[in-house]
Amino acid sequence: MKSQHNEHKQPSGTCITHEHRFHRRAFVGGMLTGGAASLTLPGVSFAGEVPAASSLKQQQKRVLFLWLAGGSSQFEMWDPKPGRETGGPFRDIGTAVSGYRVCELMPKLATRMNKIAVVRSLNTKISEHFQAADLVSTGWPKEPALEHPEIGVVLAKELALQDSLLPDYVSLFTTSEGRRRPSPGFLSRRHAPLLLEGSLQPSNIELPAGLSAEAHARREALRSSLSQQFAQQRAGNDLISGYNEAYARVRGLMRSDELFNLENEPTKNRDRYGRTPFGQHCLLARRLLEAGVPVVKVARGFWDSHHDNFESHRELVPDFDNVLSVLLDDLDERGLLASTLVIVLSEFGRTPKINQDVGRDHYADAWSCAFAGCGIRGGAIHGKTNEDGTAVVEGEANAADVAATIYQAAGIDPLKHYQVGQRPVPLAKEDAQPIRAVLS
Amino acid sequence: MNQRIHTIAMLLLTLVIAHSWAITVSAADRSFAALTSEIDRRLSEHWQSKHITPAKLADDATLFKRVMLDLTGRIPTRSEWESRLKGDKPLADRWSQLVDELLRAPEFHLHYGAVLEEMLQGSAAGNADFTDYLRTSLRAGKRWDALFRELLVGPWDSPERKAATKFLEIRAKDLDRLTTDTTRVFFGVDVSCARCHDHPLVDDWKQDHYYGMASFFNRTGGGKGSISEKSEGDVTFKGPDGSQQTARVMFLSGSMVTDPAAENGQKPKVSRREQLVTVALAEQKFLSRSLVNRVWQQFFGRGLVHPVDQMHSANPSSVPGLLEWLADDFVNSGYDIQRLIGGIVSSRAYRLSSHWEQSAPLPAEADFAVRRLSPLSPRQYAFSLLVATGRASFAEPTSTETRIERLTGTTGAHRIAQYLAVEQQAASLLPQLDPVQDGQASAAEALYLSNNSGVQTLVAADESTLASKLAAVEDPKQLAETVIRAVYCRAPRENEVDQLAKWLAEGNAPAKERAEQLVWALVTSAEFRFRH
Amino acid sequence: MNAKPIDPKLARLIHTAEAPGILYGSCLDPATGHVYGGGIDGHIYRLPARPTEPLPEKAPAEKLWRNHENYIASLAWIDGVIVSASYDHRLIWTRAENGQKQREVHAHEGWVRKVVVVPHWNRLATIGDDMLMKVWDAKTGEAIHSCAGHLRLTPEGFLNTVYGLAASSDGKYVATADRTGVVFVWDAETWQQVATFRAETFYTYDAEKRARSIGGIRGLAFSPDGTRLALGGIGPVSNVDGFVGPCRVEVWDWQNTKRTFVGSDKHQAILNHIAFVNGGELLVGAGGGDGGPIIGCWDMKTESPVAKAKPKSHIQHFAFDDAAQQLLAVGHAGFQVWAFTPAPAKSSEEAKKS
Repeated sequence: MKSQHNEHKQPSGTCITHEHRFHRRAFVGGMLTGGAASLTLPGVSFAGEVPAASSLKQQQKRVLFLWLAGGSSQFEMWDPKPGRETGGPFRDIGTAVSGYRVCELMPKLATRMNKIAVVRSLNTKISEHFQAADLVSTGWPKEPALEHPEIGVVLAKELALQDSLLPDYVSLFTTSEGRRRPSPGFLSRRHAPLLLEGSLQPSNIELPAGLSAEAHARREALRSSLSQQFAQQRAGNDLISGYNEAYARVRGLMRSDELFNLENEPTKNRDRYGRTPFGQHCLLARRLLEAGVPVVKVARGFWDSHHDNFESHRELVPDFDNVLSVLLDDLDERGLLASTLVIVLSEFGRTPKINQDVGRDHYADAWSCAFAGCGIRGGAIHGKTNEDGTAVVEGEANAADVAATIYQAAGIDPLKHYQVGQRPVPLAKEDAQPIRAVLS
Repeated sequence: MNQRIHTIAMLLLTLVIAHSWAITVSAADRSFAALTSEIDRRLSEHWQSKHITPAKLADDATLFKRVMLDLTGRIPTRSEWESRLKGDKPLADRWSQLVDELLRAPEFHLHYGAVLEEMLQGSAAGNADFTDYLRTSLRAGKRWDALFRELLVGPWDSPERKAATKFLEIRAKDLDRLTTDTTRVFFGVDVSCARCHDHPLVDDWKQDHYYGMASFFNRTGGGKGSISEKSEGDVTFKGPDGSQQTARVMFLSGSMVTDPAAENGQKPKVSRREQLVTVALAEQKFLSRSLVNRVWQQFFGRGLVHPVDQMHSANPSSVPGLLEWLADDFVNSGYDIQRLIGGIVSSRAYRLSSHWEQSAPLPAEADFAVRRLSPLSPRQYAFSLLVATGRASFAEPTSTETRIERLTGTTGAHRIAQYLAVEQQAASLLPQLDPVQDGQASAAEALYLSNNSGVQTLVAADESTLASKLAAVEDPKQLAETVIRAVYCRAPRENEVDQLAKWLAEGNAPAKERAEQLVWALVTSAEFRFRH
Repeated sequence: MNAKPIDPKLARLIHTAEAPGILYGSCLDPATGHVYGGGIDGHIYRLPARPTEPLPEKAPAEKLWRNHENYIASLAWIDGVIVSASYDHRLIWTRAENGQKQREVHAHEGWVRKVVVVPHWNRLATIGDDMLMKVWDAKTGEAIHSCAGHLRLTPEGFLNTVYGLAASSDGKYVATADRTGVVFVWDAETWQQVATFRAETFYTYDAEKRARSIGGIRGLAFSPDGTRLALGGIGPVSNVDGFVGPCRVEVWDWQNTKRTFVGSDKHQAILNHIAFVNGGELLVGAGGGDGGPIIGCWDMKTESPVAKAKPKSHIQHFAFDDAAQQLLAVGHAGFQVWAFTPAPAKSSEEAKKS
């Protein structure tokens, strides 16, 4: 049976004897039946996944995860309640979807609503930043003994192209507030994203002066083989896999340094996206997706408008409206939209009640998210809240349902299992219901 | 008469010497053997009950490197480990002497002071004054309860103690942060989720607990260099039913704090932070268990309770009874940190190998039956890089330097100067290295080590660095042995010498560059990068 | 107007009149002392603040008419007529005594933020989200002029807003101020821009942590002699999710574009409205923020803070009634009436009542 652990090329100059192979499998096998789950369990099995994965890889799907960190206000975006006491001063406008109206701050998205699906009926209950971010970005409530991987990490693992020189997952989170590094959880650290924080350019991406490419490669090969040998039969050696994987990525990153340089993009495109940080990040995201990076996450922080909510959303939403519109148009023009799943998500929404600082606080009982692209039925508006937006009245969905929907849209079975120690763990929670209405 | 004067003179001289060797005297009192044997006993029982056969003990070279990294924050130099491992007596027989010696050495205070600073300040760590205050405190044998008191209420009257205000100072303007951080760092509890409503996941923590703890801090204010505390003011909060409530001053245990009665019609002035220190020291449990747990995590990679700020009734210690026993012992010893560390580091479990050759399944991390690989902290890695490449000097003092130390009463000054010099060199490396708790091997660190010109300079063959020494060695096998001894701090194995010799022979770069590449490959390899 | 000066240290709240939501604008009928407020629900509310009997501690405000379809942002009083400016883009003239609507004008392409009377000209000035300052005939509603100057976008590329509007008491100048701290002074005759400067401390853009901003010059007032312009808002904000910065006023000698005074208090709040009182010797600002609501007073002669008071709730606007020597504030939850006389000793009857 062909070994499924072909993640590391055999180092040149050494051969793995039969005996080594046997010990390695026994070791791995032993770990598979290990005791109580701990946070970084080794021995995650990939049994059964290969056939499905390869067909996906042929279709080359991508995911763009737009994370509106801090909790964007559904009243000022997807689910306005004009004229109600909770509605605030913004009015609503019609969209390309008959009967569906959005906040007047999103006129460009309004005309593109036939490409977008909206879920207005999220109820995720948790309204504290860290916990809610974990819940929504993994699709799982917190468990003491098992750390679930972030959705982007799972998608990257599933959609990763074999032997690609590009990273599987690039995560841009350049504002520091609410910054969450997507966690691989119980998956190997090799699936952790390339993080761009503070700058759009990964630093140290060029060969240092005085070192030839050949020398660079030779010493890396030695480093890698020494590390692999050392890892043999060591407790916690999954760390070394992740470590080696990081180095394996270096050459690929060095070759793609042009990708990260926005100066290579025509000025008119840069202007089209707008010179705001979010605009530039989404332009970079499009470049990465187009080049074949399967998963890109762009976090736009920080929407936590406890005071001066209307002025804050007046600042943030038009920029978001412009950027997402341009992004959808741009992907479509390049023929990428049908194979790119676009997700717009936050950790929660904002309160119907307006506080005395003219702000809205956290609210997880009734809020919205949106999707577009691959696997999504454009123009589908799922779920309803009551007149004041205080509760969901139709089509309630939770964080697990959202996760299941995402996986389904990307062509991945949400109930597919990873083996974590003794325990099979599905991608999405067992009782999760993908939101059929938004799936094509 | 003369005899008496002579005796007094001798007494005075002894006192002077004793003062400069004060650490030695008090260290001898710290016998941690009893502590170690209790850890061994309880873990042995635990393993038996779970039918776990623990890993073997690690070999001497591995152990020495490990304990050096943990107690001094760096790998040993080649001459250090070769001389230490010399002789036919295995290290295990000399282990507690070694531990005792390392705990007395200035490098321990310097390193562990930095470890404490990171524990206390988190991402805001790196303040030299505050770190030095902690280092001086450790060197003087200050106990954890005294440190706790000084950090929260002072006194801050002397220039040395002024720096102790730093813990409060960086948080004084943010009540939430002050409350949450203090509770996490000193008591092992994360109450932040209980701020808006009773903790959704942990039954123990209600809004009352969050605001109860906040009540110890809401009168505190201040900023740059000074902490103030108002004499009145209470915390109010909105309960789940929306009503405004005044918080009761309450410790995590549920103990309420009441103000002393009015005397002569006047309410006596009361410091809420002082009250917190009093109740925490009276209760003992939270303060002692949290620190013991954190120290355990520092040396084992994982606390007895995990995570270390989630200590509550539904998340017990993974080895039943051990944490509680250690905490009680810690209190009885007078909150002696050095003794606790000595006891832990002398235990059998600490000295287990990371090799797992058994066909039996790998035990869970929480059973501590095998040493688990974990990355070096940025400090450990940076210091070790400088030692391995030969850029850091930890040479023993000359006899003249020793005399100077003795005559000026500044024992260890030489070593301290060396350490600080290395620390300064390490400063530029630190931000580029992956932090341990993140658990992520980022491409960023790999890129930095692979491509940054500063790193190239680090491994370069110049002056008296390792690479320059290697470049002068003709015989590839000898070269291979030298580099393994210098970087991995152990004797080389035959097959790896052959492997490296072969690699050297295959390349056609000049000797200098080959040496640099070889050094690079070893210092970025897993054996160097990870604790094992 | 030769009222004796108030002592800000004696500020005390004597009455609250409840109205739902937040009242953003207010105007005073100087003859009767009635104060009108308008806000979130689009209704005009009234509080008679100079009644014949002493005011009770609290009472509901009188709810009057509703002409607007969105928030009322600002009110002005001209000869028995209330002119209301609203987020529904309109200016509406309504007779105060009977609620009779006289006129409605589509004033701006966007929310109308403030309306003020331009004295001596029988005119009104307004600012709106189209970034324009417009001038109107107060009687006929005829559009007279439109002044452009404030930029549509902030330096970081986001939407800017004009928040502050004031007219000098001699009717010679009108000033406008925006979110980024830019101030323009306009000649009320020629409508030329006669001065401009930027008080950038009022604007905090957090590039590192949140990539967004908060602040703006919310309150604007000419000194009685017209030579100084006072600005009100918030100082450097540490966390732009909220009004987490010291409340702040600045006074500028606008003709020489020189700042002459900075008043800052560590009470964390934004001052939404400011005004000169005591013939210009006292500068009063009111607002609210992370530290709670506030009324702050600065002595202009000694150029130092003189008093702070803690209102019941955050204040958006206030009017000063010279005749009754009272400050009439509106904001969250309605009206507040503040007096500046020593609290009377409680009679035994009152003591029994409370």
